[in-house]
Amino acid sequence: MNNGTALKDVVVTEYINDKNAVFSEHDGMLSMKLISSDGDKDYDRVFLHRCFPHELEDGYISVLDREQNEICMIRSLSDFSDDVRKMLERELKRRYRVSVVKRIKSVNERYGYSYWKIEDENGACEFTVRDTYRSITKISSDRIYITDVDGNRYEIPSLEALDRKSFRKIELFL
Amino acid sequence: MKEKILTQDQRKRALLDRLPREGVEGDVITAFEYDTGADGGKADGAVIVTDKNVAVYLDGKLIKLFSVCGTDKFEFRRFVGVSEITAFDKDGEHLVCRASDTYREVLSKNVKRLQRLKETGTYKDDAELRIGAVCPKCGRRLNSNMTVCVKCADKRSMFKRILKMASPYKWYLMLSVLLFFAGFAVSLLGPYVNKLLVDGYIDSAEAKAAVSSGDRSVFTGFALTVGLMVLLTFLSYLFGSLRNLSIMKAGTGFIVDLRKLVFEQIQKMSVRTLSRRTSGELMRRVTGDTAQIENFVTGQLPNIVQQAVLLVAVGVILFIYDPFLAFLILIPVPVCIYAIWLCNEFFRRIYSRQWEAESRSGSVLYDIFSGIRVVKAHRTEKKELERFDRAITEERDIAIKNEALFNIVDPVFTFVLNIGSLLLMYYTGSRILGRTMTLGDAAMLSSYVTLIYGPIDWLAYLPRLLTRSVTSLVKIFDVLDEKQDIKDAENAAEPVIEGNIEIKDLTFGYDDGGDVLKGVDLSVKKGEMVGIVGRSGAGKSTLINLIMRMYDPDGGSITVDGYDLSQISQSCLRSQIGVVLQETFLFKGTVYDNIAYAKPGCDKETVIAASKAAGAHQFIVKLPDGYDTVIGENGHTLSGGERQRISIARALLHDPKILILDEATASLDTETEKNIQDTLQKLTRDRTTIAIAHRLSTLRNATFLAVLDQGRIAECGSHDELMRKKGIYYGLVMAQRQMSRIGKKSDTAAS
Repeated sequence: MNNGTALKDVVVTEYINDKNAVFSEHDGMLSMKLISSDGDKDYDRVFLHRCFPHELEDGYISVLDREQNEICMIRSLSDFSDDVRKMLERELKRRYRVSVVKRIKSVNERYGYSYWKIEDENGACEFTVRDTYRSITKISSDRIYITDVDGNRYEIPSLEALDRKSFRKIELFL
Repeated sequence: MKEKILTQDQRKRALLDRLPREGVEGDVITAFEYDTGADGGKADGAVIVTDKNVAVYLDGKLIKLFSVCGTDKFEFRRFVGVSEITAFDKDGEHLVCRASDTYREVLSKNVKRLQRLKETGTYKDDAELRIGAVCPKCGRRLNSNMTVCVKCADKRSMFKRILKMASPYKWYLMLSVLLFFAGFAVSLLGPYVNKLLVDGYIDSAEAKAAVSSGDRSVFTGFALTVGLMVLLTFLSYLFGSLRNLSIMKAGTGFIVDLRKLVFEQIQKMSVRTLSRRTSGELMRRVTGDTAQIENFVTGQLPNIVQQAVLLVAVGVILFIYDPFLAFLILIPVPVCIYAIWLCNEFFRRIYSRQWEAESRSGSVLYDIFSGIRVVKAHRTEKKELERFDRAITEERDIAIKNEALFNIVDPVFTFVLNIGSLLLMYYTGSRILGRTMTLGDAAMLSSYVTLIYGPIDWLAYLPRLLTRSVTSLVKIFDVLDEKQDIKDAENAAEPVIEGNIEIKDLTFGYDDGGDVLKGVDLSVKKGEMVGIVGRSGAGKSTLINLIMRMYDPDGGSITVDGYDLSQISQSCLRSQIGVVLQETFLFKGTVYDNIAYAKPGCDKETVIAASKAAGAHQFIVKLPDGYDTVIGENGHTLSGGERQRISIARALLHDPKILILDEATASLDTETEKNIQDTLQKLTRDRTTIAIAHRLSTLRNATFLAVLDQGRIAECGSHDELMRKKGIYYGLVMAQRQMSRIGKKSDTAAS
């Protein structure tokens, strides 16, 4: 079979790296200059969307313009120099806000809602979850995240690493 | 100490007191906090909005000041777990603030308010916008879809409510309790008659002496006592079966009522609410959970009353007879009740887990069956089997775990409860040996003790019984308490619609994203046909969903003949709108039933006329069973085009004043489409028609066309006007022409 008909050849995706894209940041927002032989193009605000936010945090990141149209893709953050990579990581941190659960102090369930008291990287935190079982998303057998009534996410990167007391509090919901 | 919960108003005032306002001009509209810094990390910030300025603070210090007039626009964006407000001016885009999703609603509503303020100079206050709405009872923050905070709502006892629902059947339930006690009284007499039999005849020296002296009256007395026992046994069975009969009567009636209620409530839910739940889950609530509650109301509830009364009654008898003995038997009861109370939460959780697993496997099955054609086309039967296998294995594992746990817990409870009986054996044995108790007394006592062990043993099973019911109760009330987000207004109007539609500044966004429609203005006069065109995702279908009031707009208004949609009763509105969607749905039933779906019992001539208009009649008469052909699930298989024509006939039969065609003829071939179009044109003459079509030729009869682009009406006018304009519409037409040219070329090449 002729390889020329392969899907990847028909659908062209532009992947960027240090050579064809220059990023800068101001006021907590990211800008990009796309360098091409047809002429450079400036985007005063771009947004980074992870294609696989659970599986691959640092790869396949779509770069979108203000109208949410894709401009190009980042295959891997490692295609960029340290400074730029850090800048991109900062942008991702601004876009994906996930609290990491360090300890679960208590979980009280009443009539379809549960009230959680936890400790995350910023200290003590309380939140309410509706329909608890359905609000816990299993990313893998060891990694989960909980979505509260407002849409905030609380991640437990490793259930195994969680202390025994905390694990017992969440065990029945898994 | 418990933290005091502040209302939005109190928070606002606290912020205004705390923050310096030098340089901030204008009347204060609101003040709110934000919790995320420009770098995405945690921050302690606040924003004060006045009618002239937007002042942004960080750690109590003013860091940015925006002028409402000097800003071109404010924009709200939602990311993952975080949202932001930015302001655009001549120098570009500037960040106002970022906040976690806890503040998302506050941020988005404020942006809308600021935009309105900029455009009209007016604004609504926090209370009107329901910003930071809190529970009137405890002050907790309420979500937009709640009216009462769930913690406070808890206090309305679920059991009370379920009892209220069962009230039409209270006589049957009371009768069942009465019959139980009648049966119980009979069984109480049993041990006494037994004692008479033993002490008076079998173990009586006097009776033996009388028999040896030839006294026949002893035999008569003996026979009568035995007869009495037979009668008591018969009565006990009679009362028992009458009781079952009355419970069945109450149970069957109650479950029908409850299912109807739950189903009705589900039907009332808006599309937005329904899309959050799976069909499998909803089915389980209507069937499984209601059955569980029926079991509770008719089985466990009378049982609780009966067993409690029994426990007290026999307890009292025992206390009167021998307080020490009663104490020995009853001593483990409070211990067990306390233990049950302690474990209750745990038991409920493990059952909830089982409920979820059962619900999940149901959903998986439903999912697979709905998509069976895709499964077969992609040869993924094995994969789906594995998926179902995983779901039921998980369900089985949880059920085994739970049963294993109960099988450990139950014997422990039974053992603890039965410790009393061992003590009793020792006690009565020593009294018989000491000759302070007769054998008859011991037999009677043993019978009463057996009676009291009925409720005591039942107590041991109570946690298991109650947990299942409570889990189901929670799930049912979750549905029943779901706030209807689209409600008819009080005294909603029921006008006969003429068909003048006026859409003004319509803004709408789904739960999980930005605005899909942004300030749409559209005016359609009675009898006009408007064609809505635009790229996929431009908001076309959303617009017609809003016209049908499947959702309520976030901003702006839609009026029909001057009535705001929220003022017209939903059923009145929808009865005068005919809809044909791209995806057709045919219910199980005959072709006639499906066409006459919205007008059951409609005369045959009208149905035939509607079918003719929709171009369906021709193929229907060719079917062996004609209009009586059963279609839908398990029925006759129709082609996509045939199904579509039936659904067009269904919409036309309605004789609607407003006709909505959402890609209605997309799956038809060009010739059939043309035929239907011609008929539709005749029919749409005095009807307002809104048609969405990708195939632009479909809209050639339209009075005018509206081009939707990124949620806004970008162009509006007749085909010729828009072509002259050479804008988006021109681009779409050209692209389509090119496509058809390519199609023709490849056809020629192939031939």
